[in-house]
Amino acid sequence: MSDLDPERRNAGVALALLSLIWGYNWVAMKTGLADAGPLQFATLRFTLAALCMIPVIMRFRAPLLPRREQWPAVAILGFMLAANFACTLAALRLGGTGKTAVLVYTMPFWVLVFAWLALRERLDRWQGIAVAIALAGLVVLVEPWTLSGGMLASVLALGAGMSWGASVCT
Amino acid sequence: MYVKNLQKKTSVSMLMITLWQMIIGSLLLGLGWGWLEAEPIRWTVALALLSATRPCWPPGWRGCSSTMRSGACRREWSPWHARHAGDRRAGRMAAMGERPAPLEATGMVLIGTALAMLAGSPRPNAATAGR
Repeated sequence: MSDLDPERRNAGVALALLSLIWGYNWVAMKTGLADAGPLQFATLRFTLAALCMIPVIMRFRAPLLPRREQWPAVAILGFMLAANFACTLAALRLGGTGKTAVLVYTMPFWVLVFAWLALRERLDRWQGIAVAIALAGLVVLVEPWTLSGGMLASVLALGAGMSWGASVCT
Repeated sequence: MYVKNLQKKTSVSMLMITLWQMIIGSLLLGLGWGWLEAEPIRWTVALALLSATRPCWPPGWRGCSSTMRSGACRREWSPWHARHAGDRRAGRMAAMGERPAPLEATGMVLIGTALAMLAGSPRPNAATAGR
């Protein structure tokens, strides 16, 4: 522990903190949706978060504005974020928290698929098996043969996972 | 990926990228709000507090940024992401008192197994960036 360099140690602490905050975030989202619509709630949260980030950026003396060549990617990332959270919160309002979360967290598999399609990154055998198992799990979880009312929530949650995956490949 | 590629050529602030991602995202979501959601918000203390959970992310993003800069993400970030996805799901289901149907539980176990396989994958993969 003592020979761990400070930057890695700080990163580890920050990641652990993020994990705790992130975990409770889903319970907070489901509870908050009782008082506001999905888009209303998402807008409130991101506006407040953006405002809070400005002093943090100034504290770290990072630039506040992107350079000209960075704008297209920033715009795409912003669009993906909006699509992701609109789908996530709408799915959360319509469906169960656990099921929605599992479907949204299929993101790593979508990243592998999109990276294979867009970036020509090849999947190794291990990753291919993982994607196949995840797809089987997806079919069992979504139960497309039932065509029930819960299908819309599942499709929205999957859309959220896909847009999140696509933003990683941007 | 975009940020990592740019970082090879020049320094890019993850915090700045995240800020503008949030600004553009909230503008688009606000447009959707005006267009699709006519029902007014019920302003409560709980809603105000819950809306404030999102601003707790900057320290986390700082951590992600540091991890990516230190190059640790190639080996550590993806397994971390996969592992903690499992922790988060368990916590959520316990907190909301939800109990999945047997078929749903089977699907969740399959997806969890696949995430665990990715976390244990020896090769660094593309799933190396976070939300």
